[in-house]
Amino acid sequence: MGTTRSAVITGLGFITSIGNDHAAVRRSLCEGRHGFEPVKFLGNPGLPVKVLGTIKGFKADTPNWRDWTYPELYQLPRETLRGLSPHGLFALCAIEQALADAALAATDVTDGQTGLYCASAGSTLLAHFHVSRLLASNGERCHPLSVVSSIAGTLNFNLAAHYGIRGTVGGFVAACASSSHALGCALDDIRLGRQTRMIIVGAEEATAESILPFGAMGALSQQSDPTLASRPFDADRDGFVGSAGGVALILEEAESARRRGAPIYAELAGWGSAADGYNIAISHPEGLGLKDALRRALADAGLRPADVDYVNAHATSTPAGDRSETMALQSVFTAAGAHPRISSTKGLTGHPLSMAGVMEAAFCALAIKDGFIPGNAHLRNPDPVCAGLDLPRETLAERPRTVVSTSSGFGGSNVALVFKQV
Amino acid sequence: MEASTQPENYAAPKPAELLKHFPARIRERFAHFQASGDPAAADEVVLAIVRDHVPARKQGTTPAVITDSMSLTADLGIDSVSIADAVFMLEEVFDVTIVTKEIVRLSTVGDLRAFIRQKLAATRN
Repeated sequence: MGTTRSAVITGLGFITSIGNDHAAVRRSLCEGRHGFEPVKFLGNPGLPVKVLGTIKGFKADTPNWRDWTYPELYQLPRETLRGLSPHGLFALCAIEQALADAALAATDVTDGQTGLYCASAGSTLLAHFHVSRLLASNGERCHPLSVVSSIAGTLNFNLAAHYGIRGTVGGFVAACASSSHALGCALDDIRLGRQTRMIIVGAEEATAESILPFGAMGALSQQSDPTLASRPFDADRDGFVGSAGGVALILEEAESARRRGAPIYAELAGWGSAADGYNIAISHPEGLGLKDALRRALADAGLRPADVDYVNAHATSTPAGDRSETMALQSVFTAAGAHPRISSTKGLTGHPLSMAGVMEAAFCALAIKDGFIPGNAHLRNPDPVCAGLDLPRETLAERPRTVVSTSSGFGGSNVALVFKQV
Repeated sequence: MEASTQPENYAAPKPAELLKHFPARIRERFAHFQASGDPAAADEVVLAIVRDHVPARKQGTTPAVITDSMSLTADLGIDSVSIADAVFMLEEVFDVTIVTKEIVRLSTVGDLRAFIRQKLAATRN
């Protein structure tokens, strides 16, 4: 392509099950602290879902924003809160952190050179709330903000208006690959000179409305022990643990970031995307699409498999998904004689769905900047199918120079991202 | 700690419940209105709901007393979507029904206050 513009990560913001700031998240990743709590949805002890990745310090699992509580350090105006879903609150707090982390003021992002890409599945909690009241009134009464607070796109609507963003604004809906798509497209926008700075945010809420339907697909772990419920790559894994939160990442054109003296975590050096063309929900048994996404990402970054020090795997702890990903990793790396460290941080965080990609991209940025490789928490008995993969149990005090992060979503949508030390 | 249990259904909230985060004075005035039908007490609740919808950027310039002649949009900065939100809340608090073509005729604080008074009178007759 002959592109000369590159993009660096200059700010991170975390509202996650394992911590609500940079320092807490790093500590959890390094010390193997999970973010799970017991849960009893709908007060029903008979439900098979017993564990959830919860957000601490916030109470925002009800429809009325006036009932929510959140840390005092966030000063949020009522006119913004009114249109937000619970996950919009998480996203907004994450962006506030990321802007401060990148040494940017809110006024810096209204320049038209800053864009915003968001990923969420919308708020099924608010959709349920508003639509059930609409139907109860025989179609006569509906809250005027019901649409903008609940449909997929609610993050873009609310956050673009709140910050006065005038660059490109959009949303991504590829289930659990959504925020990785957002990152890849943001990178392209910067490379092509369309934008100099992009805010990428993913967020989800973990409510009965959003999580229980995944149980109907057989995708959720039924374990009540939080150290057994999410164990990617383990032979006895039985599904994922739902999770919530908001993670924001600031991506900037490298030269302009350096000119303003911005802190730099890492370069987002390439990305690739490919689909399985196989099934609505089940990943391809040989990891076909993910293999292609990985190869395209490495080619885009100008790297070989042997250059990669660490892979932050999508592996959510489902029997089929982790197996497919293993096939793809063996094909791209092991078969080429490359043996990167590989781990899934979902053993600690659970699976925050569309937010997973940007959350794990942010973990990769931390790993490169702070010099560690997260281990595979809760992995006791690796699935024999993982033979040949280097799956450290404990977090390692090694600084990876080149890192790959993968994401896979329903419909076989796969994305791989490549990060490089700067 | 056990986390995240949701209500099983979403019934319409009770009017007093909607004001639970408002100042004690406003909740008292609403209780008084419910007991007596005093329109002056209702006015105070209406003005508190209007003030609640004034955006942060206008709060510094909004006087302590909101007067009838103030324009909801030009003076108080409440856009049409926020007016719809305020009206939705007023409907639930006062158990009245307001249709869209009535909302678009409301431009000042006085218009809104008089309109709610008229609705309440009609409801009580």
